[in-house]
Order: sequence, then structure tokens, then C-alpha cells
Amino acid sequence: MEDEKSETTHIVTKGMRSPEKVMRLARMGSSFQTRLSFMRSLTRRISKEKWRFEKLRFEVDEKGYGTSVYVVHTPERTYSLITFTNEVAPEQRTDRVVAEVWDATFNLFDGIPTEADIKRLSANTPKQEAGRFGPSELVLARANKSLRLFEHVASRLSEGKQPDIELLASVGYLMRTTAVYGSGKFGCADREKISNRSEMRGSFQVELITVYLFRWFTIELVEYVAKQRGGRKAVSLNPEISKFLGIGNATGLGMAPFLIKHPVLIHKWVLARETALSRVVALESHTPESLSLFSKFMFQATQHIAEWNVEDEQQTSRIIKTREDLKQLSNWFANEENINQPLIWERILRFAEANFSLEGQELTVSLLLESHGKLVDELADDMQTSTGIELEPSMSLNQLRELLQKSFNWALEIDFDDPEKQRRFWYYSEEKLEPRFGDRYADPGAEQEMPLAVARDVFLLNKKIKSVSDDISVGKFVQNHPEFRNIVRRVQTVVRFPYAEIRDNIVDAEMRPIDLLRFKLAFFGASKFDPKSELWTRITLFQGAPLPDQFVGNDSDEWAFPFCPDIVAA
Amino acid sequence: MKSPEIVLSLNEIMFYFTRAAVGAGLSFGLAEDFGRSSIWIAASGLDPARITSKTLKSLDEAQSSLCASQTEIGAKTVLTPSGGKQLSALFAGPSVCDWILETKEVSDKTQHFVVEKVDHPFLIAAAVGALKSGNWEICWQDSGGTLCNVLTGQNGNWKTSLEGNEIFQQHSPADVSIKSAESSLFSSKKWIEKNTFSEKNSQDVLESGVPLYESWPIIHKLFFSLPGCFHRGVAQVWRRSRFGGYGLKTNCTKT
Repeated sequence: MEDEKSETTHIVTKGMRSPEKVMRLARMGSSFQTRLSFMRSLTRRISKEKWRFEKLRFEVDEKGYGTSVYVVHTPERTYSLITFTNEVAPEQRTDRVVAEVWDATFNLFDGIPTEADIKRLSANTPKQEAGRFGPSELVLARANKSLRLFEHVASRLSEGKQPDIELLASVGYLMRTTAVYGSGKFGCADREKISNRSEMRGSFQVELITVYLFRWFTIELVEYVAKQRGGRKAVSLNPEISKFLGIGNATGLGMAPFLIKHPVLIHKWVLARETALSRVVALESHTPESLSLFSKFMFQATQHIAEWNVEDEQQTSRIIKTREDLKQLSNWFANEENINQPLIWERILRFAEANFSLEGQELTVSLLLESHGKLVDELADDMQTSTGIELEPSMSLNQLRELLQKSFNWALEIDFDDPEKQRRFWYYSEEKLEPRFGDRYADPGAEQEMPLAVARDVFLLNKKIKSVSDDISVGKFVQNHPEFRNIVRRVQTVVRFPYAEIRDNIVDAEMRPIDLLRFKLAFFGASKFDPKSELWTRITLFQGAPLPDQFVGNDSDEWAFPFCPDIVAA
Repeated sequence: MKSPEIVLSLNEIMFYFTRAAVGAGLSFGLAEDFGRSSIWIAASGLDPARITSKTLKSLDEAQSSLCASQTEIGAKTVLTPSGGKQLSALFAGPSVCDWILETKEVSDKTQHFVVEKVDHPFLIAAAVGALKSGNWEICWQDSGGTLCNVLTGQNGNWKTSLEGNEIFQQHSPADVSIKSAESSLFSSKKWIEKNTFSEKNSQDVLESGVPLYESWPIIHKLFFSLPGCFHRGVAQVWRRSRFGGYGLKTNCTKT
């Protein structure tokens, strides 16, 4: 196991972007996937370890409703995706967390389920949160169809034709997940049960294995439905089209508190990415191969972004600016004078920082990492932590005060006496049954606030410390003022992890939760962010990733920035 | 054997028990420490609802106090409840842990800590066990005069001086003493045949979950007394109550 103490030695070294620059909401909300993203490390592991996939059961009727079991064999273990599909009445169809029926509900099962397991789950999984699960279930999830695309694809395949590629590109998935629960939720296995397994190294691997298997299932399901309709006339999807189909996902506020509650983990994610970037920009020379790879991915990104269209006006203008940025980058790269000098990667980064939007800059970071896999991929193995948030009671209050001044200056500069600086609050809504973002001065429920307002709590802590004698220990202080125990131990812990804290006020009147969502989803490896408001977004997962039978050759990791295959519907 | 009311994961134990403690009146920081103690109890193969519910109820009904004063007399540190009430173990446990961390580096092994009039002595041991900070002996005398000991060891192992569940259930207030123990004590003649709990229990719990029996409804009720704690799958209700925010408004301890 990793030595926890060694984590304290991580510092921001020369050449790395500073936390002050990186951990700001505006930049976090401009994030792109990189080759360190969790989906990318998963598909690399599948390819490297030659995981085997097997369809163990597929008992569905002609409409695609029934039970199926899809299995993956890793070198040491077997995991099974158990899926229940059923008909959903139009009036019951919703992606919201308040839904009670879904097109598909599924579990990732630890091993191969018995008949008794499947029978037990058939009575619980379709109920989702209202069911109960046990440690043999690693993940619980559900998904709804993109009715438009699913029906179109099934219909075209049944007629012996491939789907309309433009329609397919405009949606990108046959089904979208609306919740994926792991880590002991609703009785499922605790993360601790699987955390030492080699295939689970990294973050959110078990959830992403589930989604990966489910994506495979959705493609087989639509082909099956087409075959039932069309008989011998029906055809399968062109493999390039299958590969271009991802899994959709609707993500709301439920995901945002995670980033605040796990500061050390967030530090590890960002540290890995920033270390990778610093390694690349430190390269004095470059090879024809790395130039060629950069050029290739720049082309893929240009195509990918050209196909990224959303209804949201703000995101649309950001996408348009990113397209312009990419064009500038391409022109810069086409100039031989620029290429023939040393430190090309650093100069590319500096050019982006001087000329591009935040999205353009973060896309450039992604491209720089993409062309240097051998140099950076091993960093993905360290994007997890076992370090908890611990109190250091022996520290003097004076030392704590100094820590606040040194590491939380960004929070102390915020004037929380200004009502606008804490207009928002996070709470669980009784009505909507999900985490909500309220207006403290307009909405009821401020007394139900969740403990997430780090900057405000640091501000209050600093104010309190000023009012008491500082020659006492922190232990004594929190004994006298237990209401600060939580924020004190957070401060004492995160000062050792510079990328741990979001250096913005998350209860400010102007705060956009969508920035938090995009940051986290980019680390997952998501693409095609499609904000539906400041509170939730649609994304696509695994679009362009190889399907189980497509892990051949060395290009199985080159699926970043997928774009529409050049295939004309027959 | 009767069926459990519910089987929870350790993650759910942390979630429900922490928020039940906030519902009973604890600040969020202390409640998180209580959540960790509850996980330690559960990972030892015991029912944390049965062991902790009376303590939470006692706090909720204001029979126990979260106010205390701490004094040092030579090598002895004493935590005394204020206002004549018994002291809640949910407050005293973290104070003991803080003292352990503060004195860990001190070479004087005669230093010890005494918590006076604790409502549930075993929960002091649970707090120390959850800290996983080496060998400590926790002692108290029950209402019948029997001496009760808990010895924490390395890697989460621990022992009790009494057989059966008696030691976990004692709810009469007692003075509890905490002192450092030599690691050799764990395998000494005095302790070798005592009731032992080990990491193996923890692995078993990860494979089977934590069964909670008749006391679970008390935790459940306190959980739902906390505004902001709604969890689907347990009940489709949400009760509002008297505690606001997450603790930054409360302050009742004495210097």
C-alpha cells in the first residue's frame, strides 16, 4: 500500500502550473479529457491485460425487454453486468432523480451470478434506490433510451440499412445513464472491498467498467431488436459506427459535493495532470513521431469540436472561440520556423496562454499530453488516495493562524459580510429529493445547509481565532469550540496538498455549479458537454472507444476526440 | 437467530450515524468522529446501533452534556462534565483522541487521562480504537463494581476483559481511565485468552455487510430529525426539526 506520509512530500515544482491558476472555477469549468482521464486508463488496462468479454445470457423478447448477463474476465477476476430492460410508459419517462421506472436497470456483480442472485436482483434492481443490495453488487445504475436514435437505428438496421450518420452524430448514444451508484450506496459493496484489486487502481474504475459493459449491451440490444423486426433482411451496425456510439449521461448537482468532500483525492487528480504537463513542456527537443502525433490529434480535435453543437448560448459561443483557437494553433504549427526551434511544447503552451480562451488553453493541455503517452501514462496509477482528513491537536493556534494566512489567503480576501458573497447554499431538497443550490435570501431551507462552504467557514474560523488567546493548542481550541472541528482539520490537512482546494467561493451569488460538474466529468473522460442550465449537463462517455472485439493493434488508445466516421448510409 | 432490521454497508454506517449524531445535537466535526467510531464497532462484527443508540438518545433528550472542563494535575489530565450532568461519550471520545495525539511523542508513559462521569464508557474505547494509534488500555468500574478493560493493539486488533456483550451495553455513568500500554501486553498472560476482535472481522463485514437489529429505528429517527438529511430508499419522508445549519452556530463548552 502507498505510504501515506510520502504524499506529504508532493509539492508544486518549477514548471508546473500553480494552484492559484488551475484551481479556479472558470478554468475548472473549461476542462477537457486527457489521456490520464479514468476512461482512458481503463481502456489501456483492458488492452494491455487482454481482458476477455463474454455474453452469458441474453433472454429478451422481440422488443428487447428481459434479462441479460454480460461478463468481463480480467486476469484475476470476473465481473458481470446484469441488466433488466422493460417497457416504460411515456408519462413515466424522465431523467430526473424522482423517476421510478427506467428503460434499463443494472448492477455490476462481483463474479458470476447464480440463478438465485438474478432472481433476487430482478426484485430489487428495477426499483433502484427503493431496492436493497449487498456486497456482491459493486454498482447500481439505470439508463433511458434516446428514443429518437434507438428507434431510428433499429428501424434502419431491420431494413438492411445503416443509420443516418448525421442523426447519429447529433445524439451520440443509444441510451443515457441517469445515475451510477457505487461505494456502498444502498447496501452495495464498500469501496474498501475492492480498492486493493489491481484492476480497480485509479478512480471510479468499477463505475466505468459498468458503463463500458453497458455500452456494449446497448449496441447488441439494438441489433437484436432490428433482427427480430427484419429477419434475414436485417444487418448489424458497421463497426466504425458502433465505435462512434457512446453512452449518454445526464449529470446534475448530486456530483458537485463530491469535489468538496474529497479534497486530497482532487489534489491527486490535478497533481497527476499538472505533473504530466510539466514533463511535456520540459522536453527541450522533439521527435518527428511526437510532431506527427500532435498534428494528428490536433486534426482529430478540430473535427471533434466542429461536430460539438449545443443549444446553450454561452457554451455555443465558447465552442466557437475554441474553434478559432484551434485554427490559430494549427497555423502556428504549420509555420516551420516555430517547429524548428527547441522547447516547442513549452512554446505551444505559452502561445495558448497568451492568445486562447480558457477552453482553448485547456484543450491545448489535453493535446500536449495526448502526444506523449509514454512520458505521462504511468501517472494515472497514482490518481487515488487513502489519506483522510485528520486533526493535529498539538499544533498551536498561532501556527494554525499562520497556515490560514499562508494557504487560505484567497478565502480570507473574500468579504463575507457582503450578503452577495454567501447568497447561495447547498442543501437536500425535500421536494426534488436531490442536492440543490438555493438562494439564501429567497428560498426556504438555508438552515439545512450542507457543510461545503469552505471559504466562508475559513473566514469564520479566522475571525474566531482573532478573538481568543493564541497560546493554546488546536486541541484545546476545538474542545472549546467544537463547531470549528470540521474546518480546522480540513485546513490542517489540505495545506499539504496544494491542488486540494477549489480557490473560489462556492456560495457566491455568481457561482456556476456547472463548472464543478465539467471539471469532474472531464477527469472521467467525458466529452461533448451539453449544458442544459447552470445546474446540469448532458455528456457522452466512451464515444470512439474500442468495443470488446476492437482491441487490436496499437491504436486502441487513440480514441480521444472522436469524430463522425466517413460512412454514407446504404 | 432473528433477522436483522436492515443490513448496511460501512459507507452507509458513516452516512447515517454521522447525521443521526448531528440530529441528536452534535456539531458536524464531532459527529464525523462518532461516525468513525461506529464504523470501528461495525468492522469488529458488532451492531453499532445497539451499542450507540442509548447514548444518542441520551444526548437528544439532554440527559448528557457536551460541556466540560479539562485540567492537568501532574501526569494526570482530567475531563470533568459541567453543570452536574453526565458527560456524553460523543464529546469525551474525541477529547481523549486529541489528548492521545498530543501526548504521543511524550516519553513520559505515566501520563494518563481520566474522563469523569461518562454516560457510556465503551464509546471512549471505540473512539480510541477508531483512531488506530497503537496500544492503549481503557478501564472503568461498572455499577456492580466489576472492573472493565479494553485493550487496543496494532492493526485494529483489540480485546475486552469480559466475555459476551456485557461490556458494550453498560450505560451507567463511570469514570474512565485511559493510559498507554506496552505492545507486549496484548500477548501477555493476563490478556492472552480474553475476548479478541481482529481485522478478520473487518474483512467478513466487507463481504457480508453490517446487520442492524432492534435499535436501528432509533438511529433512523434521529437521522430524519436532521434537516437536510433525506436519503431515498430508507423512507419517503423528511422531518424538519430544531437544529440549524451544520454546527457553526453552537458553542457550549467551557475553557
